[in-house]
Amino acid sequence: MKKTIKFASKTLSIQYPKWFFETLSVAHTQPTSIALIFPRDIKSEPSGIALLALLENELRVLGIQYSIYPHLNSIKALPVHQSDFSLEWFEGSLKPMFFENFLAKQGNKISEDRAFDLQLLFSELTQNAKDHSGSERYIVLLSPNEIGVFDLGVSIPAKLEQKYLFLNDIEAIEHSLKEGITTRRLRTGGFGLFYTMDLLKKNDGILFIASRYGQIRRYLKNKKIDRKSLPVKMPGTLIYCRLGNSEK
Amino acid sequence: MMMMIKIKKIDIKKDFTAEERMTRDGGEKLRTMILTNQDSVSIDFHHKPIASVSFWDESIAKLLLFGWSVEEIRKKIEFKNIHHRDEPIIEKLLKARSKS
Repeated sequence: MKKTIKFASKTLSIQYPKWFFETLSVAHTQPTSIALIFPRDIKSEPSGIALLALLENELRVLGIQYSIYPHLNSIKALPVHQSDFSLEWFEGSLKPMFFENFLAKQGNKISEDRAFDLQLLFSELTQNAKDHSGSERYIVLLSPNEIGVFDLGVSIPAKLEQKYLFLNDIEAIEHSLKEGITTRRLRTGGFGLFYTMDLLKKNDGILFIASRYGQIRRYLKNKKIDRKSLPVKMPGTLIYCRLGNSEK
Repeated sequence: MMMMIKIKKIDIKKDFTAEERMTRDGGEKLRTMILTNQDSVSIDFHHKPIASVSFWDESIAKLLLFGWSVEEIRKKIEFKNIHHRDEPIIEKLLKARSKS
Protein backbone atom coordinates (compact mmCIF):
# COMPACT_ATOMS: atom_id res chain seq x y z
CA MET A 1 0.00 0.00 0.00
CA LYS A 2 1.37 3.38 -1.03
CA LYS A 3 0.46 6.55 0.86
CA THR A 4 0.83 10.14 -0.27
CA ILE A 5 0.74 12.97 2.26
CA LYS A 6 0.54 16.60 1.23
CA PHE A 7 1.53 19.36 3.60
CA ALA A 8 0.62 23.02 3.39
CA SER A 9 3.26 24.16 5.87
CA LYS A 10 5.67 26.69 4.39
CA THR A 11 8.35 26.08 6.99
CA LEU A 12 9.91 22.84 8.02
CA SER A 13 10.43 23.40 11.73
CA ILE A 14 9.75 22.01 15.18
CA GLN A 15 7.65 25.13 15.71
CA TYR A 16 5.04 23.53 13.43
CA PRO A 17 5.56 19.79 13.94
CA LYS A 18 2.20 18.64 12.50
CA TRP A 19 3.92 17.25 9.39
CA PHE A 20 6.19 15.12 11.57
CA PHE A 21 3.43 13.61 13.72
CA GLU A 22 1.12 13.12 10.75
CA THR A 23 3.79 11.18 8.88
CA LEU A 24 4.51 9.06 11.97
CA SER A 25 0.80 8.35 12.27
CA VAL A 26 0.63 7.16 8.66
CA ALA A 27 3.85 5.18 9.07
CA HIS A 28 2.29 3.21 11.90
CA THR A 29 -0.46 1.96 9.55
CA GLN A 30 2.42 0.09 7.87
CA PRO A 31 2.22 1.22 4.25
CA THR A 32 4.85 -0.11 1.85
CA SER A 33 5.86 3.40 0.86
CA ILE A 34 5.15 7.02 1.71
CA ALA A 35 5.45 10.07 -0.50
CA LEU A 36 5.75 13.35 1.38
CA ILE A 37 4.86 16.38 -0.65
CA PHE A 38 5.75 19.82 0.67
CA PRO A 39 5.09 23.18 -1.01
CA ARG A 40 7.63 23.92 -3.74
CA ASP A 41 8.92 27.00 -1.94
CA ILE A 42 9.26 25.38 1.49
CA LYS A 43 11.94 26.78 3.78
CA SER A 44 13.66 24.83 6.47
CA GLU A 45 14.92 25.65 9.92
CA PRO A 46 17.71 23.61 11.55
CA SER A 47 15.13 22.01 13.89
CA GLY A 48 13.09 20.93 10.86
CA ILE A 49 16.12 19.34 9.24
CA ALA A 50 16.86 17.46 12.48
CA LEU A 51 13.25 16.24 12.69
CA LEU A 52 13.37 15.14 9.08
CA ALA A 53 16.53 13.13 9.78
CA LEU A 54 14.78 11.47 12.73
CA LEU A 55 11.75 10.72 10.58
CA GLU A 56 13.89 9.22 7.82
CA ASN A 57 15.54 6.99 10.41
CA GLU A 58 12.18 5.83 11.78
CA LEU A 59 10.86 5.06 8.29
CA ARG A 60 13.98 3.03 7.56
CA VAL A 61 13.61 1.13 10.85
CA LEU A 62 9.98 0.35 9.97
CA GLY A 63 11.08 -0.81 6.51
CA ILE A 64 9.00 1.81 4.70
CA GLN A 65 10.27 3.25 1.44
CA TYR A 66 9.81 6.99 1.21
CA SER A 67 10.20 9.86 -1.18
CA ILE A 68 10.17 13.56 -0.46
CA TYR A 69 9.23 16.42 -2.81
CA PRO A 70 10.77 18.85 -3.48
CA HIS A 71 14.06 17.00 -3.49
CA LEU A 72 15.51 16.53 0.00
CA ASN A 73 18.76 18.25 -0.88
CA SER A 74 16.97 21.41 -1.89
CA ILE A 75 15.00 21.41 1.39
CA LYS A 76 18.13 20.89 3.42
CA ALA A 77 20.02 23.57 1.55
CA LEU A 78 17.61 26.31 2.50
CA PRO A 79 17.66 26.97 6.24
CA VAL A 80 15.61 30.05 7.04
CA HIS A 81 17.51 31.46 9.96
CA GLN A 82 21.08 30.36 9.68
CA SER A 83 23.42 27.87 8.15
CA ASP A 84 25.85 27.75 11.06
CA PHE A 85 24.37 24.80 12.87
CA SER A 86 25.73 21.34 13.64
CA LEU A 87 23.74 18.15 13.41
CA GLU A 88 24.94 14.67 14.24
CA TRP A 89 23.75 11.20 15.22
CA PHE A 90 25.05 10.00 18.57
CA GLU A 91 25.49 6.32 19.33
CA GLY A 92 26.50 5.29 22.84
CA SER A 93 29.11 7.84 23.85
CA LEU A 94 28.42 11.52 24.57
CA LYS A 95 30.84 13.01 22.05
CA PRO A 96 32.15 16.09 23.89
CA MET A 97 34.22 16.74 20.75
CA PHE A 98 31.01 17.48 18.87
CA PHE A 99 30.48 20.44 21.19
CA GLU A 100 34.15 21.49 21.02
CA ASN A 101 34.02 21.42 17.22
CA PHE A 102 30.81 23.42 17.23
CA LEU A 103 32.42 26.09 19.43
CA ALA A 104 35.53 26.18 17.25
CA LYS A 105 33.33 26.64 14.17
CA GLN A 106 31.45 29.52 15.81
CA GLY A 107 34.66 31.39 16.58
CA ASN A 108 33.82 34.68 18.24
CA LYS A 109 30.21 34.69 17.12
CA ILE A 110 28.86 33.64 20.52
CA SER A 111 29.66 35.08 23.92
CA GLU A 112 31.37 33.14 26.71
CA ASP A 113 28.09 33.10 28.66
CA ARG A 114 26.13 31.74 25.72
CA ALA A 115 28.78 29.07 25.17
CA PHE A 116 28.48 28.04 28.84
CA ASP A 117 24.68 27.88 28.61
CA LEU A 118 24.81 25.75 25.49
CA GLN A 119 27.42 23.46 27.03
CA LEU A 120 25.25 22.94 30.10
CA LEU A 121 22.19 22.15 27.99
CA PHE A 122 24.24 19.87 25.74
CA SER A 123 25.63 18.03 28.74
CA GLU A 124 22.29 17.47 30.48
CA LEU A 125 20.16 16.66 27.47
CA THR A 126 22.58 14.23 25.83
CA GLN A 127 23.12 12.45 29.14
CA ASN A 128 19.37 12.12 29.63
CA ALA A 129 18.99 10.64 26.15
CA LYS A 130 21.87 8.22 26.72
CA ASP A 131 20.97 7.17 30.27
CA HIS A 132 17.18 7.15 30.19
CA SER A 133 15.84 6.69 26.69
CA GLY A 134 17.28 3.25 26.08
CA SER A 135 17.58 4.32 22.45
CA GLU A 136 20.75 3.24 20.70
CA ARG A 137 20.82 6.35 18.57
CA TYR A 138 19.70 9.92 19.02
CA ILE A 139 20.20 13.06 17.03
CA VAL A 140 21.67 16.28 18.38
CA LEU A 141 21.23 19.74 16.89
CA LEU A 142 23.28 22.73 18.00
CA SER A 143 23.20 26.29 16.79
CA PRO A 144 24.15 29.58 18.49
CA ASN A 145 20.66 29.94 19.94
CA GLU A 146 19.18 26.46 20.04
CA ILE A 147 19.75 22.86 20.96
CA GLY A 148 17.63 19.84 20.17
CA VAL A 149 18.08 16.25 21.32
CA PHE A 150 15.67 13.84 19.67
CA ASP A 151 15.46 10.14 20.42
CA LEU A 152 13.16 7.26 19.57
CA GLY A 153 13.63 5.39 22.83
CA VAL A 154 11.56 4.98 25.99
CA SER A 155 9.44 8.10 26.47
CA ILE A 156 9.47 10.34 29.57
CA PRO A 157 5.97 9.20 30.68
CA ALA A 158 6.90 5.51 30.27
CA LYS A 159 10.07 6.02 32.28
CA LEU A 160 8.44 8.02 35.10
CA GLU A 161 5.51 5.62 35.37
CA GLN A 162 7.93 3.13 36.88
CA LYS A 163 7.92 5.28 40.00
CA TYR A 164 5.09 7.84 39.87
CA LEU A 165 1.38 7.94 39.02
CA PHE A 166 0.01 10.42 36.47
CA LEU A 167 -3.36 11.28 35.03
CA ASN A 168 -1.90 11.74 31.57
CA ASP A 169 1.36 12.13 29.63
CA ILE A 170 1.34 15.94 29.79
CA GLU A 171 1.31 15.74 33.58
CA ALA A 172 4.23 13.29 33.44
CA ILE A 173 6.29 15.61 31.23
CA GLU A 174 5.62 18.58 33.51
CA HIS A 175 6.56 16.49 36.54
CA SER A 176 9.93 15.66 34.95
CA LEU A 177 10.83 19.37 35.10
CA LYS A 178 10.57 19.58 38.88
CA GLU A 179 13.58 19.54 41.17
CA GLY A 180 14.79 16.13 42.33
CA ILE A 181 12.61 13.99 40.06
CA THR A 182 14.49 10.83 39.19
CA THR A 183 13.89 7.17 38.47
CA ARG A 184 17.40 6.13 39.48
CA ARG A 185 17.50 3.94 42.57
CA LEU A 186 21.18 4.09 43.37
CA ARG A 187 22.62 7.15 41.72
CA THR A 188 19.85 9.58 42.51
CA GLY A 189 19.77 12.87 40.67
CA GLY A 190 16.89 14.64 38.97
CA PHE A 191 18.38 18.12 38.77
CA GLY A 192 19.24 18.21 35.06
CA LEU A 193 15.89 19.18 33.55
CA PHE A 194 15.14 21.46 36.51
CA TYR A 195 18.33 23.43 35.87
CA THR A 196 17.61 23.40 32.15
CA MET A 197 14.37 25.21 32.96
CA ASP A 198 16.19 27.59 35.28
CA LEU A 199 18.68 28.47 32.58
CA LEU A 200 15.96 28.99 29.97
CA LYS A 201 14.14 31.33 32.37
CA LYS A 202 17.24 33.49 32.62
CA ASN A 203 17.55 33.54 28.84
CA ASP A 204 13.87 34.20 28.03
CA GLY A 205 13.97 30.89 26.25
CA ILE A 206 11.46 28.43 24.85
CA LEU A 207 11.25 24.78 25.84
CA PHE A 208 9.50 22.24 23.67
CA ILE A 209 9.02 18.64 24.76
CA ALA A 210 7.05 15.95 22.97
CA SER A 211 7.01 12.49 24.45
CA ARG A 212 4.56 9.61 23.87
CA TYR A 213 1.09 11.27 23.77
CA GLY A 214 2.03 14.59 25.37
CA GLN A 215 3.49 17.84 24.16
CA ILE A 216 4.31 21.00 26.06
CA ARG A 217 5.71 24.29 24.89
CA ARG A 218 6.82 26.75 27.54
CA TYR A 219 7.61 30.37 26.73
CA LEU A 220 9.70 31.39 29.71
CA LYS A 221 9.64 35.12 28.95
CA ASN A 222 5.90 35.58 29.31
CA LYS A 223 5.33 32.36 31.27
CA LYS A 224 2.93 31.07 28.63
CA ILE A 225 2.44 27.31 28.49
CA ASP A 226 0.85 25.37 25.64
CA ARG A 227 -0.18 21.83 26.45
CA LYS A 228 -1.34 19.44 23.81
CA SER A 229 -2.26 15.77 23.58
CA LEU A 230 -0.71 14.22 20.51
CA PRO A 231 -2.96 12.34 18.10
CA VAL A 232 -0.23 9.79 17.53
CA LYS A 233 2.17 8.06 19.84
CA MET A 234 5.55 9.73 19.68
CA PRO A 235 8.14 6.96 19.88
CA GLY A 236 10.68 8.51 22.23
CA THR A 237 11.24 12.11 23.16
CA LEU A 238 11.87 15.39 21.39
CA ILE A 239 13.47 18.05 23.57
CA TYR A 240 14.17 21.37 21.97
CA CYS A 241 15.41 24.57 23.66
CA ARG A 242 15.65 27.95 22.06
CA LEU A 243 17.54 30.66 23.89
CA GLY A 244 16.28 34.22 23.68
CA ASN A 245 18.39 37.00 22.31
CA SER A 246 18.86 38.74 25.63
CA GLU A 247 21.83 37.26 27.41
CA LYS A 248 21.51 38.03 31.11
CA MET B 1 55.23 18.79 67.15
CA MET B 2 54.06 20.14 63.79
CA MET B 3 51.03 18.56 62.16
CA MET B 4 51.44 17.70 58.48
CA ILE B 5 48.33 18.36 56.42
CA LYS B 6 48.09 16.18 53.35
CA ILE B 7 46.77 17.97 50.31
CA LYS B 8 45.77 15.81 47.40
CA LYS B 9 46.16 17.61 44.09
CA ILE B 10 43.79 16.81 41.26
CA ASP B 11 44.13 18.19 37.76
CA ILE B 12 40.77 18.13 36.05
CA LYS B 13 42.34 18.26 32.58
CA LYS B 14 44.90 15.53 33.16
CA ASP B 15 43.01 13.21 35.49
CA PHE B 16 39.66 13.25 33.69
CA THR B 17 38.63 12.65 30.09
CA ALA B 18 36.39 15.16 28.33
CA GLU B 19 33.45 12.78 28.66
CA GLU B 20 34.12 12.21 32.37
CA ARG B 21 34.06 15.98 32.95
CA MET B 22 30.42 16.10 31.92
CA THR B 23 28.95 12.93 33.40
CA ARG B 24 27.78 11.33 36.64
CA ASP B 25 30.43 8.66 36.09
CA GLY B 26 33.11 11.35 36.13
CA GLY B 27 31.51 12.99 39.14
CA GLU B 28 31.57 9.71 41.03
CA LYS B 29 35.24 9.28 40.13
CA LEU B 30 36.05 12.72 41.59
CA ARG B 31 33.99 12.04 44.72
CA THR B 32 35.86 8.79 45.26
CA MET B 33 39.18 10.61 44.89
CA ILE B 34 38.05 13.20 47.45
CA LEU B 35 36.90 10.56 49.91
CA THR B 36 40.12 8.56 49.71
CA ASN B 37 41.74 9.29 53.04
CA GLN B 38 43.07 12.77 52.42
CA ASP B 39 42.74 15.76 54.70
CA SER B 40 42.30 18.29 51.94
CA VAL B 41 41.93 18.32 48.19
CA SER B 42 42.93 20.95 45.68
CA ILE B 43 41.27 20.62 42.28
CA ASP B 44 42.60 22.71 39.42
CA PHE B 45 39.96 23.49 36.80
CA HIS B 46 42.18 25.71 34.62
CA HIS B 47 39.23 28.11 34.16
CA LYS B 48 37.69 25.49 31.90
CA PRO B 49 33.91 25.30 32.24
CA ILE B 50 32.47 22.04 33.53
CA ALA B 51 28.88 23.16 32.88
CA SER B 52 27.38 19.89 34.02
CA VAL B 53 24.81 19.68 36.78
CA SER B 54 25.22 15.89 36.84
CA PHE B 55 28.99 16.09 37.36
CA TRP B 56 28.71 18.65 40.18
CA ASP B 57 25.87 16.84 41.90
CA GLU B 58 27.63 13.49 41.85
CA SER B 59 31.08 14.79 42.80
CA ILE B 60 30.47 17.55 45.35
CA ALA B 61 26.82 17.81 46.44
CA LYS B 62 26.63 14.08 47.15
CA LEU B 63 29.44 14.39 49.70
CA LEU B 64 26.58 15.43 51.98
CA LEU B 65 25.26 11.88 51.67
CA PHE B 66 28.63 10.63 52.90
CA GLY B 67 28.50 12.50 56.18
CA TRP B 68 30.21 15.71 55.05
CA SER B 69 28.73 19.08 55.96
CA VAL B 70 28.64 22.11 53.68
CA GLU B 71 31.25 23.75 55.93
CA GLU B 72 33.58 20.76 55.59
CA ILE B 73 33.22 20.83 51.82
CA ARG B 74 34.16 24.53 51.76
CA LYS B 75 37.04 23.97 54.19
CA LYS B 76 38.55 20.80 52.75
CA ILE B 77 38.19 21.38 49.02
CA GLU B 78 39.98 24.09 47.10
CA PHE B 79 38.29 24.81 43.76
CA LYS B 80 41.31 26.28 42.07
CA ASN B 81 40.74 28.28 38.88
CA ILE B 82 37.10 27.28 38.75
CA HIS B 83 34.99 28.89 36.02
CA HIS B 84 32.85 31.65 37.53
CA ARG B 85 29.62 30.17 36.14
CA ASP B 86 30.24 26.80 37.77
CA GLU B 87 30.36 28.16 41.33
CA PRO B 88 26.64 29.08 41.60
CA ILE B 89 25.68 25.65 40.27
CA ILE B 90 27.57 23.97 43.11
CA GLU B 91 26.00 26.34 45.65
CA LYS B 92 22.49 25.61 44.37
CA LEU B 93 23.07 21.88 44.42
CA LEU B 94 24.43 21.99 47.97
CA LYS B 95 21.33 23.90 49.02
CA ALA B 96 19.04 21.42 47.26
CA ARG B 97 20.82 18.39 48.71
CA SER B 98 20.85 19.98 52.20
CA LYS B 99 17.05 20.17 52.05
CA SER B 100 16.55 16.53 51.10
